[in-house]
Amino acid sequence: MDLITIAFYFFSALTIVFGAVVVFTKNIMHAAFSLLFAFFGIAGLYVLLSADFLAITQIMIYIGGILVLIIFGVMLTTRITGVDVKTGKIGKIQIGIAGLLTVLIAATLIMIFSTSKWYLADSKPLDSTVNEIGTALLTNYLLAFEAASMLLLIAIVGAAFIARKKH
Amino acid sequence: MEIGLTHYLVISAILFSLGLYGIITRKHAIMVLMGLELVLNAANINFIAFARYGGMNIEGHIAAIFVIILAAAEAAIALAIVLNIYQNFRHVNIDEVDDLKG
Amino acid sequence: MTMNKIITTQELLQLMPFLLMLAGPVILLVIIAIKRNHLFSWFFTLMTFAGVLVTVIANFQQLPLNIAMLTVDKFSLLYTGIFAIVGIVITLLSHNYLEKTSDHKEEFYLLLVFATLGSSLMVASNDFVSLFLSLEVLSVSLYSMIAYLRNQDRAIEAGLKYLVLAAMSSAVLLFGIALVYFETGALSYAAIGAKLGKTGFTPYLVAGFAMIIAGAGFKMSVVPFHWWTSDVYQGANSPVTSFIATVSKGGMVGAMIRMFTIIPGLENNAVVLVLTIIAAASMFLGNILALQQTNLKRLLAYSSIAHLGYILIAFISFGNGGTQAATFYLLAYFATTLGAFGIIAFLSTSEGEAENISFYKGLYWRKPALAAFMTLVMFSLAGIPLTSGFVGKFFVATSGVKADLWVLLFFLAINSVIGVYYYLRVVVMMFSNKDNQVETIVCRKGVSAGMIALVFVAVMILYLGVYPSGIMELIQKSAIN
Repeated sequence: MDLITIAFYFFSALTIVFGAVVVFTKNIMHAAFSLLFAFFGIAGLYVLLSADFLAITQIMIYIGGILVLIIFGVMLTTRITGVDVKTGKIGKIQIGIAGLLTVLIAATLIMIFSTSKWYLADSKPLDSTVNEIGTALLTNYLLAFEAASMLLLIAIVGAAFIARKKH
Repeated sequence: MEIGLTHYLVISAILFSLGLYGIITRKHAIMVLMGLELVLNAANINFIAFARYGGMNIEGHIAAIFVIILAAAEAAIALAIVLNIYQNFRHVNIDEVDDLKG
Repeated sequence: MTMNKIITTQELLQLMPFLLMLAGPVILLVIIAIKRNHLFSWFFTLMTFAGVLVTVIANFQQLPLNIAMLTVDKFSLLYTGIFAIVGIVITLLSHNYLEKTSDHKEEFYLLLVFATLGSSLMVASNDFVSLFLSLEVLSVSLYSMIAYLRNQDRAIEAGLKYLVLAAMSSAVLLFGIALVYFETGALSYAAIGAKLGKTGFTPYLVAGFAMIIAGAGFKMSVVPFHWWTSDVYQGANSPVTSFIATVSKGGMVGAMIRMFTIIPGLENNAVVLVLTIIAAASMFLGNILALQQTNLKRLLAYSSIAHLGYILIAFISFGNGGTQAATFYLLAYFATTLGAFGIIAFLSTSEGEAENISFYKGLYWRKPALAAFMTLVMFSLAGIPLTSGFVGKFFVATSGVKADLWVLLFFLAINSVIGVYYYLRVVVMMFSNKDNQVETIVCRKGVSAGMIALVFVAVMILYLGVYPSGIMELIQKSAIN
C-alpha cells in the first residue's frame, strides 16, 4: 500500500462516515459539524484527483461560507439548550421505503460504475490547474462566468429581501 | 488494487444515495438542505474524477466550480426562507408546514 | 494559450437582447438603492422588455452566432421575443397586484427580468454548462419570486417546497450531465452528438439522459415529477404563477428541443418509449386530478400537467414538424394561461386571491366583460375552434399523424373530452346563479394597465385561433437546422 492508497481510503472513510452521520444523527448540531468533516474529506479527494484549485475552493466556500451559513441558520431557528435541537423523522414505513429506494439506487449506480468500460484517455496530472481554469473562465466560459456572477447577485437580492425585518 | 476511477465513482454513488436518503426522510428544513449539499458534492466528485481520468480536460473542473457557486446561492436563499418560516410558524419542520392542500 | 478571441461589436449587438436583460435590472437595482418608486420601476421594466423585443426583431435576420456556449439564432431569438412579450404582460398585471399586496414592490421586477433572462439563455444554450447555469439563474430567481409575499404563510411555504424539490431535481440533472460527460468526454451538444455518431448509445448514456430528462421533466412538471405543481401554483401569487406556467416551462421545452435536435440518436427507442409513457401519464393524471378541484389555481395547475403532455406528443414526433407544433402549442398555451392567471390577479384583493371556483358563480351578471373574457380563455384551454387552443391541438395532432403515434393520439382525443368537461363547468358556473350576490367585486383604481394586458391576451387568443399561418410561418422559419 503506497501513500496515495492510504490517503484515498482515509479521505473516503472520512467522507462516507461523516456523510452518514449527517443523515442519520438526531442532533442537528452534530449533523452540521459532521458535514464539516465530510466536506473536508471531499476536499482531500480533490487533492488526490490533482484538482488543487477545487480543493481550496471546497474548503473556502463550503466550509468557510456555506457551512457557516448553515450553522447560523441552525442557531437562529433552534433552541440549542432545549429538546428542539433534536430533529424529528417521519414514520417507520416511509423510512423503510426511503431506505430501500436509496439502497437500490446506490446498488445500481455502483454496479454501473464498476462494470462499465469507461472511455479512458491517457491521464497526465498537471502541476497546477489554476492557470488553465483562469484562462478558460475568461475566454471560452466568459459568458457562463458572467451568468454565475449574476446568479450570486440574484441570490443576494432575493435573500436580502426575504430575510429583511418585517414592519 | 490501484486506486482508479471506479473507486471515486463508488464513493460518489454512496454519497449521492446518502444525500437522497436525507432529503427524503428529514423533516427539519435545514437538515434537508444538508442532504442536498451531499448530493451536489457527489455530482462534483464525479465531474472531477471524470476530468482526471478522461484526459485531464478542464471542463469538468469548470462545471464543478459553477456547482459550488450554485450551492452557495441556493443555501443563502434557502436560509432566508427558513428564517421567515421560523418567524411565521415558530418551527421549521417541512411536513408541519402544510397550509396548501386540496 | 487561447486568448486570441475578442468579442466584436457585431457579436455584442447580436447578444444585445440578453445584455439588455442583464443591464436593465442592475441599473434598476442602483436606482432602487437611491430612491424607491414603484411606478418608475414598473415603467423601467416595461421599457427593458420593450428594448429586448426591439433588439430581437432587429437581429432576427442575422446569421446564427455561436459564442461561448450560446447559440444566438432565429430559434432562440423567437423564444426570447415571446418571453419578452410574456414579460410585458406579466409586468402590466403585476403593478396593480403588488400595489394591493406587498410592502416592498420594486425588487419583484428585478427578479422577473432576471428569471426571464435565465429562460432565454436556456433556449440559447448549446452546452450543458450553460444550460445548467441558465437553469439555475431561472430557479434561484423563482425561489425568491414565489416567496415574495413573505408575510403570507402559504407563499413562504410554497417557496420552501419549490426550493427543496427544484434543488433536488437540478442535482439529479447534474448527476446525469456528469455521466454523459464521462461517456463522451464533452459537455457541448455538438461534441456529444459527434461522439454519439461514432460510438452509439451505451446503456450508461441512457442512464445519464434519463437523469437529464428527469431534471427537465421537473421544470416542465410532467408526471412523475409533477408533485410540486399544485402547491406552488396555489401558494405563489398569481403573476408569479403565470410566470412559472409560461416562461419557466417554455424555457425548458425550448432547451429540450435544441438538445434533441443537435444530439442525434436521442430518437432511439428507449428514449421515445420513456417519453411516450410520460406523455400518456401526464395527460391522464393531470386531467383526472383537475376534475376534482374546487380551487381554480389548482385546477389550472393540474390542467397544465395535461397540456405539457400534449406538447410532449408533438415533441415525440421529432422530424415530422413536431418541434414546430410544440412551439406553436406553447405559444397558444402561453396566451391562454396568461389570460387565466391574469383574470385571477385582476380580481384578487388584499384579503386573498380570487381562486375559489365558487367566487366566479354568477360573474356574468356582475361583470359581463370579464365573464366573456374568462369564457374565451376556458374555450381555448378546452380546445374549442376559433381559439388558439384548438389550432395548437390541431398542429399537435397533425404531427402525431405523420409520425404514426396512433395510441397517443387516441389518448389525446379522450383527454380533450375530459378537459372540455371541467373547463366548461367553470363557464356554466359564471352564467348561473343570477342572484348570487355574496361576493361582490370591488372596483379599484389603477386597473387600466391590467386591462390592457387582458385585452392584448384576448386578441392573441383569437388571432392565433383564426389566422395561425402567419405565426406558423415565422416558427417554421426559425427552426434549428
